Amino acid sequence: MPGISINVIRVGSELFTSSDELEISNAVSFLRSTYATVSLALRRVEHWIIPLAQARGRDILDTTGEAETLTDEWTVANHNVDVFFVKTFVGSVAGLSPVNGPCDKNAKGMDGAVVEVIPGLTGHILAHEVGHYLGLSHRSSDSTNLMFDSVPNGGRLDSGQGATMRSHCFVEP
Amino acid sequence: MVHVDIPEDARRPEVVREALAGRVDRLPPSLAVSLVLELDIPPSEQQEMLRGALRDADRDPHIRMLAAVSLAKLSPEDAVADVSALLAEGDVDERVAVSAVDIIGRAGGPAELERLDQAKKAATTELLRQRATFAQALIVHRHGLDREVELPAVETQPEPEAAASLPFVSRKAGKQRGDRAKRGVKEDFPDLDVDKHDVYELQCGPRLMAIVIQRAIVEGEGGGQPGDTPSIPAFVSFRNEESGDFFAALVALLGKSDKGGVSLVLTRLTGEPVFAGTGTAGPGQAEVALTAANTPGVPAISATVRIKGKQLEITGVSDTRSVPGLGPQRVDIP
Repeated sequence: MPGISINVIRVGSELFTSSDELEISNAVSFLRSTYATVSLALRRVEHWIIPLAQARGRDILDTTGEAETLTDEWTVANHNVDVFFVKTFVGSVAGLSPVNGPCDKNAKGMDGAVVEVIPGLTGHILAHEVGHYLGLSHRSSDSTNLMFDSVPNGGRLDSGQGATMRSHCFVEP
Repeated sequence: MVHVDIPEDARRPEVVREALAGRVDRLPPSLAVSLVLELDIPPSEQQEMLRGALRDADRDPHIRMLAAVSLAKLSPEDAVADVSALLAEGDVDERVAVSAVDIIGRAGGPAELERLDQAKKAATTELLRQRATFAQALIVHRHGLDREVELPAVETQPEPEAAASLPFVSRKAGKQRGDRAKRGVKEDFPDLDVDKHDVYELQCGPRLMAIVIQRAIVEGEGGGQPGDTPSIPAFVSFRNEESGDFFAALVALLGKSDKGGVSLVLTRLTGEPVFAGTGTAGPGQAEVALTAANTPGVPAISATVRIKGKQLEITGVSDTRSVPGLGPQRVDIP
């Protein structure tokens, strides 16, 4: 089965509690099982931290621009999707990612996904945003679909969405 | 982008109050803060709830920071007074203080410069010192004060190689996108007078940028020589490709250069330099050559900003790649 790998990057790592770590672990498991339904495996999960002293205040994102800047300022030099976990994203927005994100992570523009850790919802947010990165757009008329524009939702993917995701340049055969 | 769908029964003041104190499992305090502005209660009650969260030293600093940001959305003037009073009391968590100085820089007046000086002196982190310094620069430029300010140091990148570059040229924006671009800037800079600004657009690669510029600068009205006193002639906002809305991304700081002309520095809203250059300017005319700062995530550019014949024109080329981002630290699975 083709697959992707992700970098789990904790922004302001000192702030992450053991329950946050459990939430992230469960979120990764949710992504793995959801993507498996459309024949896309989650291969490697690599763990990274940005300590508070280096995060330059980006541990709390109070604008969309700051979320974009975070992904511009930090990059892991490998072939995985960079996912930045933050404790707080101002407002009801809980995640952000480009649609069909680049595989050259030094290309202009946003080149990672940002996910707010919210108990019970982080898995949906993570799978939704990585779905965007792999090429999926919103399905605003179908609340059973993972790509519905708000969470929680039904968390399902269809075969057409699976084909789109499997064609992304980060996918390994 | 994805939003959190908050249940209708959580949108009640008594639930939100409990949630702000961390006592509602399905509504974390971070979401509760954002809900305050949506509650069907008078603004004075919204302010009271947010002030309570801001001033409670026992709360998570993130919640206090969010409360400060929400207060600024509700009433920028009152928020400046609230956060300034908080700083005056001293002994504030420095992450909360960073949010406070950000709000003061974007919405405060000259009377706050002294408070920012005090914040800098009391700071134990470089982050707070840098943000307070930048907040002073914003106030001085927003209000055109004749006062020396410390601007971010700019180390520039070489110009892009011709073979790997994208050309760009600006054009006047249409009304709909222009209005959205101005709204995006006004969210962060509430005293922006939208009726006195025009919008030009610039497409460079996938990114649509809008330059929200003072009409008087372009049309040569209002007297005075551009650059004689510090000013913010323009903001740059970026279009969110999902929502179609714009958000403020860069602020242009204009002043005198050492060589007798003008100096222009474009920074992120948090003060990191992105583009910089020098040139000449007079009533209704200007020409400034810009290059990119050596800042992670910023692509090399070579651009010329011209004002001539009551029009703004920006032309140039941009690299397709950016200065590589910083590398996080690898850890074993915690």
